[in-house]
Amino acid sequence: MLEVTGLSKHFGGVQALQDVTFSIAAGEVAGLIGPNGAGKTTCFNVIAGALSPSSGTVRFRGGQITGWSADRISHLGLGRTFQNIAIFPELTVWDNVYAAALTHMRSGYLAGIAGLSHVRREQRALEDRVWTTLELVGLSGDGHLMSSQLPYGHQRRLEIARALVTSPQLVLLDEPTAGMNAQETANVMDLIRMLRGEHTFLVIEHDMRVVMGICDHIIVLDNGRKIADGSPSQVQQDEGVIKAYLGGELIDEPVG
Amino acid sequence: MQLGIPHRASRSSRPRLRAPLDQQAIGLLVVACILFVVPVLFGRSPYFMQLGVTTCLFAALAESLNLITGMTGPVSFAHAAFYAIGAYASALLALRLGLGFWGGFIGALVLTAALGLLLGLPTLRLGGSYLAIATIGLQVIVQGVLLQWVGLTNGPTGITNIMKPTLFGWSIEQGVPYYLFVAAWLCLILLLLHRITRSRLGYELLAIREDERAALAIGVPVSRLRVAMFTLAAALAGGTGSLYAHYIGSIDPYVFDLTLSATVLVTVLLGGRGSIIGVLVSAALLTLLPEYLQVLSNYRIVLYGAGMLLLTLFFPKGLAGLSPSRWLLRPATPPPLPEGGGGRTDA
Repeated sequence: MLEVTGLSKHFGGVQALQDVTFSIAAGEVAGLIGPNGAGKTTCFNVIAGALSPSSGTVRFRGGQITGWSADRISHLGLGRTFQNIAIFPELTVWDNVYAAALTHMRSGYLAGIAGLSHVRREQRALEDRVWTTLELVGLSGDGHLMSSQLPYGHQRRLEIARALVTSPQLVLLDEPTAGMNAQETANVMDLIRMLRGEHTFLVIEHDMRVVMGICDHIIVLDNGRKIADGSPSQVQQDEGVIKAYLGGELIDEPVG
Repeated sequence: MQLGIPHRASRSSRPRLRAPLDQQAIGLLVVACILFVVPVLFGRSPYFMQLGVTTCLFAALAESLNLITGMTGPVSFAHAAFYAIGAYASALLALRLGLGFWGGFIGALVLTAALGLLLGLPTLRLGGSYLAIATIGLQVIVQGVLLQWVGLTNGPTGITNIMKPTLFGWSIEQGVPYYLFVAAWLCLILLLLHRITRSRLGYELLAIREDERAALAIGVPVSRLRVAMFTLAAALAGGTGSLYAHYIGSIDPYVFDLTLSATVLVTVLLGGRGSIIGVLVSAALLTLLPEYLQVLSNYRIVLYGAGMLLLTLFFPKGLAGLSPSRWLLRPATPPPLPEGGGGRTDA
């Protein structure tokens, strides 16, 4: 589904990603973890086309997408959410999701403006789809609300709905449970478990209970490099990972 | 891409949806009726007909800017420049090349679209305030060229004796005929904007306005649409400029200044960004009110400024924020409700 090979990205002198290589199989729920500043979000941005890599390649669904623009990659079947929420604040909850659904419709712009009957039919089908997606994330009762008025946890769920409504093959979730209470977190975990198989997931997450609870494949970054890659149990026992995570807190000095 | 296929998990609970009332469509129908009833009531008065033409032209100009600043986001201080280019192009093509009104009108549309595309490509890469400054520059340059290029534009004297349009052999004269002509053009623009807000394009534009990064992530070709809308808006302003030139009969560069650009921009912000009906109402208010405040002419500018200040302070969303019915002045439709209740009703 996704193959990242030798990916590097530097901002001026700062090396955010260094020769990162990993791949994700279709149907997996993969986790991308690592201490703060490890390069996780940069990695997401490069994969999704928001940033272009300094070197290395990204292959998605068998084709090269390195350097493609984000909108083109979206149409190839990639959906994403953002670490620091990027909803459309002055639009309603419904319109946030509807806009994403319409962007992926088959009919073109002019047919839409002309209001041709097949476009109307397609729009009606998409309305149904928006509704079911909102229901899926538990926001179907909030369609009328201005999205900026939603509490933080709801805004995260709205972003997930907006990413899912286009039926992406691969969904990138950047800290989907940040700022959520225990119940909301459990709901998001259930949602991901339920949708596995329909979508492939790559999730950045700090909460280890979430990571260990939903991921069947974990990639660990530290200082822009990949330091481990494997099943949750493999990663938990990896010495490099233990050092990177615990070392920073317990034995400050030896780890540079 | 398997669109339209619902998630397995929730197929059973999928509600049947009931389409909401399209308040914007109803509002626009009412507006169209008013526009065409006006000459029946006031057709005898040349003064009212002239006021009507001015209002329609200004509303058409404001709605075309609404397409960029209101729906897509970029703030442009150069809209009077495209209006001017349309007016001059049309007048010059009609008079010097003998193409008549229609040749001039179509030439104005094509030329302003081409210039909009040419100028939009580099400037729209700039963000926020840089773009605003670049468009101020553009506006000043265009007016400067109109003043200085005497060989083409007659400089400060301007162009006179611009002929009236003809339609099927009939000359469209001042008064009711020209009013109907301009009202039809305004209705055409309103219809186009309405259809855009009800289609994929409109939602993609709103997405750009709201958050570029997220718009890209859901698949909106942000830069291409921004340039396309700048081009379309420039062409509509150009066409409106052509109608102005052939109505007024003589044009000079002084009308098309930065103040006009700023007034058009304020009209859009006052009406509420993206709100077709809001901008229409604010355009009407801003043309008609000064007429009736002439008694206070010395204090008009002060009142104007104070009003503007209060509105931006207390009603940052413009007239659209004041609407008792939330969906009348919004570019988007209310979400459909499941049949048999469950959802909220809109009050």
